[in-house]
Amino acid sequence: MDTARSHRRRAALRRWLGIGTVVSIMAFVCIPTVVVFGVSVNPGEILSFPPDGFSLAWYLRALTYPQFQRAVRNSLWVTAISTVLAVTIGTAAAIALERHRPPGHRFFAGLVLSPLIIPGVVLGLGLLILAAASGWVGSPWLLVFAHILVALPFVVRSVWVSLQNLDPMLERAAASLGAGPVRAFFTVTLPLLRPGILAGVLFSVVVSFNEFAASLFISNRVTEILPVAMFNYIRNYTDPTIAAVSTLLIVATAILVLVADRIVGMSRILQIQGDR
Amino acid sequence: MAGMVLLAPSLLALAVMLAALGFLFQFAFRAFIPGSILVGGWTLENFSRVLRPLYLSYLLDTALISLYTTVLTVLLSYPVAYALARARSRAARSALLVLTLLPFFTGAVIRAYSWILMLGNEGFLNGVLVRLGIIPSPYQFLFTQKGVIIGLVHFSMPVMILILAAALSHVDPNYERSAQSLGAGPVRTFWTVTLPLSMPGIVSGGLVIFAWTCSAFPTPALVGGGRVKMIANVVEDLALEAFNWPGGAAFAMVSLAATFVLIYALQRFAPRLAGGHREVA
Amino acid sequence: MATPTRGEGAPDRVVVRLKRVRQAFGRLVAVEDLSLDIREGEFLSILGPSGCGKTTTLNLIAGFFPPTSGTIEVAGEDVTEKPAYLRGLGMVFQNYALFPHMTVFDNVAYGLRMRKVPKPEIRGRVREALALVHLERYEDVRPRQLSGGEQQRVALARALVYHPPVLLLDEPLAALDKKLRDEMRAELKEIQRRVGITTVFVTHDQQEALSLSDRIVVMSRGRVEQVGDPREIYDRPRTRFVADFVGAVNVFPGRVASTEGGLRVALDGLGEVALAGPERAGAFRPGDRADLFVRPESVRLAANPGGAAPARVRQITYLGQHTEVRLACGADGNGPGFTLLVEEKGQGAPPPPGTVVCVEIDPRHAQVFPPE
Repeated sequence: MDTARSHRRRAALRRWLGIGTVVSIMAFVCIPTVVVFGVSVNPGEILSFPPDGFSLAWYLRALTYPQFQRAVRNSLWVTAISTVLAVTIGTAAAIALERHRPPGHRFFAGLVLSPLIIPGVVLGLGLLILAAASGWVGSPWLLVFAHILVALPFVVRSVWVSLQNLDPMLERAAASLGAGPVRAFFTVTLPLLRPGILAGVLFSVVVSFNEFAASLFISNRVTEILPVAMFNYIRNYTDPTIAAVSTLLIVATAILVLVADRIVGMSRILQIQGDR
Repeated sequence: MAGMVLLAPSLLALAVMLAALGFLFQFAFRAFIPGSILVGGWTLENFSRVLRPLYLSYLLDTALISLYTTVLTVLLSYPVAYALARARSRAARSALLVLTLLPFFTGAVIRAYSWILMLGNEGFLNGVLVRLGIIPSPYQFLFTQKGVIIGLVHFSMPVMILILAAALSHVDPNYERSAQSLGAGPVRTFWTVTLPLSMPGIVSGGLVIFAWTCSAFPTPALVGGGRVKMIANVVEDLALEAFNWPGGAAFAMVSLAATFVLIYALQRFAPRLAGGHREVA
Repeated sequence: MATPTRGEGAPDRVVVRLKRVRQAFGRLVAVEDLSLDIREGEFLSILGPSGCGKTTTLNLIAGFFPPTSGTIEVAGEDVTEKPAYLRGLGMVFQNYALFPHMTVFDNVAYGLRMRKVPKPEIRGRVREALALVHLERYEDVRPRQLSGGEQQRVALARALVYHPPVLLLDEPLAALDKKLRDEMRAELKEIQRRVGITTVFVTHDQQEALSLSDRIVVMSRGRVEQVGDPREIYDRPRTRFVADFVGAVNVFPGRVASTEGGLRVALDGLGEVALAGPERAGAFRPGDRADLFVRPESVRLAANPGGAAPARVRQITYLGQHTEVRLACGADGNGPGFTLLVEEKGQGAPPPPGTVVCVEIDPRHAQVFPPE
């Protein structure tokens, strides 16, 4: 019938319009990444796209630039240590808040999540002033501390959600079978918290590695981490070196995300609702 | 109690953070001694400097930029979030999820930098526009407020998409089906059912993005190139360029206060938009 | 496995003793002054509606929290202050609580590993326990791959493998569908008999309790209503609650006519029923209001053209196990209406609507309680 066909045509049109919209928007999201790659292989110094040729010279410069090399070492060191510490104390905090519920636990929960809403510059300046007053200026441990603060809310939240999904009867079953509280924790609770802890590790690594605002205030040329080094370079020079660095980082991040997805699954990591 | 022992290290870290904020607070009231990081006695001079029109204009700029960013982010994120929440094929959903999240994991500096490349006179956007003949010669996007807003929208989209997708996935598809069974076409269903039901998510996501954008740093710094200043850039100027820690502290506090007031006001106004009380995500 | 030697003159040993146990959660009293002896080898059910305190009692025996007051003894030892992981009992939870991150083998071996049993011995004992529940080939399977019934059997094997003195079961059959429940019920009984282990079984299903138990403890609102074997509980309920909760029952309101040599009750709108035996009189006095409780199988509707206390059948509804009959008092059917449950198995289908009948009650199986 005529009406049926026109309905179907309109439905198809609507569908293609919807898909087209989403594809265009996603293009907007993805194109910058492509452009970065394009500029990074530009033989010349101009930040032009499309590139005039193909050259890996900027990659060479990026990998051999001493300030970047130092910054990468600093970043890896700071991120590794702050992640280990943040995950440990964050997991302990989540267990305390969900299973033990000490008095005032609601207030503490808010406090633990508070670094999320404090602007990085405020945190950075405050820590800088505190460091100056206590003689910690220029110490890499100051950076570690700041990174722990920004990573903590993510760790606590991830582990907390995992804990909420943990059947408390399992811990009782372990007790009924003869496992004391410590053994029950290590043989039952901890293994089942793995998804939450892994998510916490992932978030902690990403947040710490990319931490910029606070780190800018509390680091100096010796201790500065990679984002800060890149920022300073961009302000002073306009060649595609940073495009090369960026591309390398994007590739590394993509690999990390894919590996994490393979091991635990991104939906689980983000604790997104499953298929409906 | 075991709970307190487990909680102690975190609380200790947060106590130090509060101490740092306390020092910041205290510094706002101390006199600035130019050329040194030492401070003089108690004074309100920093605040009187900071409440002058120049600095107040920075606050206004920040609020406006955040507002434009939030609105544009909502508009662009909604279709993607809708597709994500309603997608039936796992492959499509996975693909959207990964593409949405990848920028999120690559860090603010890289993303701000990518917009320098996109918006520059020899960059992507100008290249496309000139080649398509839409404009005769490169348009100045970089170092303008427009450019900063575009960069900030791009920065905020992943978070907004996730928040909206979560909110939309909680809207029972049966509502849409019953609207259709009652005679509403797809467009009417969207306007009268889907959109209102997803309003709480839009509002709470919008508030999150607005608050977050107010404290944006690398994007206005790099894409704005020193000509567009938001709150964080001013604080950096005062504290790290002029070593005026008290001034930076005072401005940071005024901005924080202004931001909280604005967000509080928006939150009050929000339930009327959302049609109900909602917590900020 | 040794079976308990009863009936040989040896007194039953008490394995679990609860003395005046009271459990309060804040202002809510879940268990009130409970004293109970659980004998060796017996299958004891704690029966009652939700909120009656039966699960709390089980948790107290298991040791997940100490009682607010009172003492608990296991095998003669006071364990009141001992936490669960030191009591060495076996427990099966309502949702089985199998460790999802371990295989069936590791789940069952868990209790043995906690007791530091050497590895080669563990293997043999786990196999033995799985054979007991007919799941020999499931060692490397994960709990999520098992059906509800299979999970339950693994939970049972896990609790029994280290030969605890007592087995505690918290409504283990509640999550299964009817057919599976009947099968598991039979298996459970068989295993318990074979192993001879003292078992405490919590349930709200009176049919389960009646068919499985050596003794039943009926609880309501934190208190024990009656303790006895299934026949006692069913035939001679000692309180109104037990009569009402366990099995279907008909209730006839009435007034005590006489208490000489027994109890005669004049039922409202119907005739009199005489219960023989002086003990039946209880604390009743002539003139008191009283309710007569009778099970469906002890009520008969006899066709009665001109007998005493007639009633007219109004409506019949077949319910399978019982039949619901709506009647109205008086030969003309103009008196007050009432509903009866009768059993068709013993007496055939009831007379059709419109028939005038006489309600015949077997006094030997009737109980009388004061009104609420």
